[in-house]
Amino acid sequence: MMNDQFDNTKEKWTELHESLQDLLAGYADNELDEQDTLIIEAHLSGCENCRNDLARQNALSERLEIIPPARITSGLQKRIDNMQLEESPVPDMHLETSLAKVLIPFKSWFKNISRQPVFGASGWAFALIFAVVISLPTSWQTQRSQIPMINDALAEYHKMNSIAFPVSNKNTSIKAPVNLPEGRTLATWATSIAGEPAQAFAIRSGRNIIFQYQINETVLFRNPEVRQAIADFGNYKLRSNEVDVLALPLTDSGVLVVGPAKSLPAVEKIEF
Amino acid sequence: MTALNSQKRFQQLTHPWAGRLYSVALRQTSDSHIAEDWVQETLLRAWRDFGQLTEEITIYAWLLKVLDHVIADDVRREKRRHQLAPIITVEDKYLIEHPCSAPGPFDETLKDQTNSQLMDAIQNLPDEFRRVVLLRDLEGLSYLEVAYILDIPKGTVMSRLSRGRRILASALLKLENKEQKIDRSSNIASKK
Repeated sequence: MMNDQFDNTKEKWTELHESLQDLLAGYADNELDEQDTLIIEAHLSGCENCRNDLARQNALSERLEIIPPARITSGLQKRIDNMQLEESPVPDMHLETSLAKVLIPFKSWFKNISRQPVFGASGWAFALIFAVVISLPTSWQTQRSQIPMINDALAEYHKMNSIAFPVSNKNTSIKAPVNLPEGRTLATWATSIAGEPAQAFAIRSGRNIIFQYQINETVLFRNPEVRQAIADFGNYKLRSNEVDVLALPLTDSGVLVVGPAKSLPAVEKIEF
Repeated sequence: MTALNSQKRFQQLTHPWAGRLYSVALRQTSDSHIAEDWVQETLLRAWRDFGQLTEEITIYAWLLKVLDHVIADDVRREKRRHQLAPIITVEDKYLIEHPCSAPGPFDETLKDQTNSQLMDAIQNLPDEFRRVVLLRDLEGLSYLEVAYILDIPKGTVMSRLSRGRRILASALLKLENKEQKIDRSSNIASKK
């Protein structure tokens, strides 16, 4: 009798163990609902094999994320530029409305966030937003970054900051994306961030030299952590070896601002 | 909107993604010419179906879906469809017995692999797992976006990803074994 009960429980456990293995990726990626999360956590506490599998999934996912994308070939770029498109395949009106509504969700999240202070300019809503703004400076991430765009920006910042770059007046027509207090553009050059072309700016702001990298949206929103931070706070911040990096979305691109720790202006004071 | 304007709008919306599309395509073939053809075909089809774009869809996810269809039409032939995907559980021999399968040593194993070794291992995954791993772990898309692109439920994305990563982990451990054997035999050969 006892044996039957034991076998039955063991069978049930095995069944659950097998079915939960398909949810381990979801748990690793934070894509499970609350109930499944609780079930998985209860199972993980007593199952070493699943715990190890979860650790391997996390490690794999982190390692694969930093593989850089390939660069487009000049041949393909030419082919695309010269591509002959036939006449418009859709009625004009429909096209116009559907295009006007094409949303890149990240952009709309950001717009919603920046609209909030307008709609909630009084009462609790305002207090809430104020509390979020107040808490922003404490949200600097201090761990070493695994994000290619951040690593590239930091690497170039360290490299360029240690050599004397020329003060150029030739490129004054190219404006840095973000206006810094008492900022003066010293130099600008074309560079590459996370395998994609980017424009770099060296700006003297007060006593500090601050770099800005104008990057395309794909690079900015590629990392889920950055995407989430921009959705939640409107920006992503990281502090690494006494250097601060701030990632911000612009109208149809993005900017990375890199400078000595605590030298960057508060986000709400930044003018675009 | 005139035909010329809509073409221009199409180009403005889609051309910035061409580089990323090429990168995704190149992860599914080792031939850069084939990858280029796929991207061009994707943009042509996208133009043809431009009217189907709705407000719920992001341009990039939509283009990836078209690309997935282009690749499917080109290479995913019957033999691949009938390929039986191995089911690997967390009790898989390599995942249990291999000295590098525990969390710490496994991290080291991954660090030792070059990007191209990892890409080769991904290329060898059965098709249905490879596509999910590529879109989620290399392109960083959400489960919902992957589900949309591949036309499968979100739960299927999760199970394929769980299994795909497990197969990949097991394959990488096997690879590590082979490399150790080669190292050992070359050491013996050099001593002789």
